[in-house]
Amino acid sequence: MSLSVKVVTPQKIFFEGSADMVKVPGWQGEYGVLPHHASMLTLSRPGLLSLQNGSQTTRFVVDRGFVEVGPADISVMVQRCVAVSDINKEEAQSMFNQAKEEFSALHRTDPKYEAARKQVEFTKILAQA
Amino acid sequence: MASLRDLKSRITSVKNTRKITRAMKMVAASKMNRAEEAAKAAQPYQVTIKRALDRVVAAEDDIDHPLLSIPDNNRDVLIILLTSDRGLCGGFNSHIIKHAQKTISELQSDGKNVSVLFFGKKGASGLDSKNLQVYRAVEGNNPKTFADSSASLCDELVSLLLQNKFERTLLLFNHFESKMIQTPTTQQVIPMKIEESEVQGGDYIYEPGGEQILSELLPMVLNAQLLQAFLETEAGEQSARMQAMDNATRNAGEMIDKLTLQYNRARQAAITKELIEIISGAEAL
Repeated sequence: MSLSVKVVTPQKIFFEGSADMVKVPGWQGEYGVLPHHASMLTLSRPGLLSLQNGSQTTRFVVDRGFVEVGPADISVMVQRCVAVSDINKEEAQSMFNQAKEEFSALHRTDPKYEAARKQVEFTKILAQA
Repeated sequence: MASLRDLKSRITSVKNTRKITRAMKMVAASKMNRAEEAAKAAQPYQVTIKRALDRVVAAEDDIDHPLLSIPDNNRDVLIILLTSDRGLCGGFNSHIIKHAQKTISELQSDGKNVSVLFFGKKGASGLDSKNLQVYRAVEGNNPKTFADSSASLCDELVSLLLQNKFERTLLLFNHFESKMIQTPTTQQVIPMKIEESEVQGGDYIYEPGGEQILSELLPMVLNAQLLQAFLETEAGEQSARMQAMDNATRNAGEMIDKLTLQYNRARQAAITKELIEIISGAEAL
């Protein structure tokens, strides 16, 4: 038995498929989900989401969001998602640098501060994936 | 009677107009399909996020979050009005503007102080802005920037809420019911309304606690609502434009037929006249 996996972003269903095990960047640390897991609703941090199928692993970089786990299915709702195989190293690095630059120019009280911080968080993972 | 040459040039100009309207119709049709698909693709997220919210709400007995409670401010109301940047789309903008005007007068007669945040040029220019404050006017919001602008708008609304700037925030947009029907709609986005639902929250494990999940989840729901409104506005605008241009193309066709008939009659009359002149000339000889 395998888990049916759905990764959904506000724009579309990003990925739909199945996996033997799913690793999720949870709020309190990474955790793995196998079939027959107890039902659970958790927040997730920006990080790597990996789906294991036998010896094959598919990885995604996900932004913050939340995860709903059922006995046979798992839904990941995130703001943004990029497949690791689609990442362009240089582009990701330059995005990270740009985000860092913009962030360091902002003061704590700036309304854009939070958004910029989140952008740095996300692009950092992109660059390192 | 108009001369032959005048008629001919009118026919040509109407033909050119028809070419333009037909092209615009086709562009609008393809954009509409894309927009409609995007709106449809956004549905699953809405549904799942809503279900999760219902679940947390059902599981928590005592919900307390700024996004759900009514702030102390009871004077100021923010209206977010979504229109298009461009015209030539039938009654699309005028309907929503009329609706906004009505909503605003109602609020004002209740003694509220109304500020408006415009998305789209047509709203800012179409609304009688004598008695209201313009909070901001945004132009050039297009499908590529929807995700970013809804996210930043969402952050902004939350921070405005925490500063106690507005009592309520209303979102006014054309709800896309079908290609033929768009209805002006008012949606209260802050404070959020949570409907009673059947969903049970019982057997779930919540990590971290329900309250913290709620404080992350609510902005996401807000963001999804805003994005949905953007997408529906885009789809509605394009379908309204497609219809308007379809009508224009048809009208131009009718006009061309009428003018061609006139032209042929005039031509025939001229020929007849000439023949009569020749024949009577010959008889006189």
